[in-house]
Amino acid sequence: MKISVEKLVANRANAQKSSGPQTRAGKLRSAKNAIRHGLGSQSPNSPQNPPFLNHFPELKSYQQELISLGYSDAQSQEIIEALLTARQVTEVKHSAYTDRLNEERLGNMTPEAVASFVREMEDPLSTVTPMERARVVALLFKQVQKDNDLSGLLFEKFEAHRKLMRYEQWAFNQLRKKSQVKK
Amino acid sequence: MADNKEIKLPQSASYSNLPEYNNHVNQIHASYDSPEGVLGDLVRQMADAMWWVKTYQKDKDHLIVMKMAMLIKSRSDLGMDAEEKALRFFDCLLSFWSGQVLDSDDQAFLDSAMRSKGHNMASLRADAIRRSVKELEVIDRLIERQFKNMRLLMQSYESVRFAPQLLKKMDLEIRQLEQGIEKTIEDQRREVSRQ
Repeated sequence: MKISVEKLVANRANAQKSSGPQTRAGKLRSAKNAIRHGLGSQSPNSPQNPPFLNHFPELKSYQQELISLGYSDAQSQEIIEALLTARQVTEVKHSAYTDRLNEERLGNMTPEAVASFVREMEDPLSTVTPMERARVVALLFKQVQKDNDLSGLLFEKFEAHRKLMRYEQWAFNQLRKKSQVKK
Repeated sequence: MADNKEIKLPQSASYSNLPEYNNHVNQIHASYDSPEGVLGDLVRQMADAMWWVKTYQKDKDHLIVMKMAMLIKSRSDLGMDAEEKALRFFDCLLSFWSGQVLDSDDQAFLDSAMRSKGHNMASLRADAIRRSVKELEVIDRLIERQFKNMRLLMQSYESVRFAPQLLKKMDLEIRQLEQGIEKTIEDQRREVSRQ
């Protein structure tokens, strides 16, 4: 079921009343709200990082395998780090390639219907000017059009992958570079 | 959009847990003699890149067909009916382009919609492609990226696979160089002692 403009405006208005997270745990959680995939963070995959090794127990055997092939300790660690980054990029790509849910889309309606909803939602005592109201209506209608363009919705997934391309390029280049046998 | 025919808009459709994705990866892995460890990991990454090439290609076709559907859908259509209509157009057009025979109802539905917009199948497709040039360019760049990823992964695979031989070869080269230099130094000493 798609969301109505009325509900969207009500949700946004209620969100404005929020005083934000109060507890330390809540603040810590909301501090991570802006993190999309963490691929841009510095050195996320160090094999020397114990939690990471615990998360991927096969890494210890990978390191042994690389050393037995003739790689140095340092190079084997670098290869594992690059391998993990590549793996992480792959996972992010998979989770990014999903269709938007109906609940996240606005219903299809005319600009007049959007304007009428906005007027209905407005506080009678508010000092909103017609110009400001027109801007809100225009923004909402733009979103309505975007949410109801099925080919545009299909393209959103590609767009998500386009944004990940530079991470892919970096990760796989690193992997090739690190795994080269050095003299 | 696992199934070629079925468009799952707007539902969540992630690939990594789909059996067909896992089958694809396992098949590629087996074709490389099922390597384990680092090599196995690299092969799986290569299989993943191949999967994305296929997926992008398939979804690129879906995008064009969906654009065609959106072009013949009437602008005055609103609400869920409009979406159902667009999805029905999509279904009919996809069937047509994949070489299936449409039943008479669907054919009539499609023909009347195209006629009302002054299109035939070829002109509709051309119009859809013309209007999606930017999007198609992005998809082509994504496909190209996957090929580059595959090449880089193949180079990593070869480096790891042939590391012992390469290291042995390099070790031999270094020894030969060392011996050569030792011999030169020895010759120089002899010459000096002779004089």
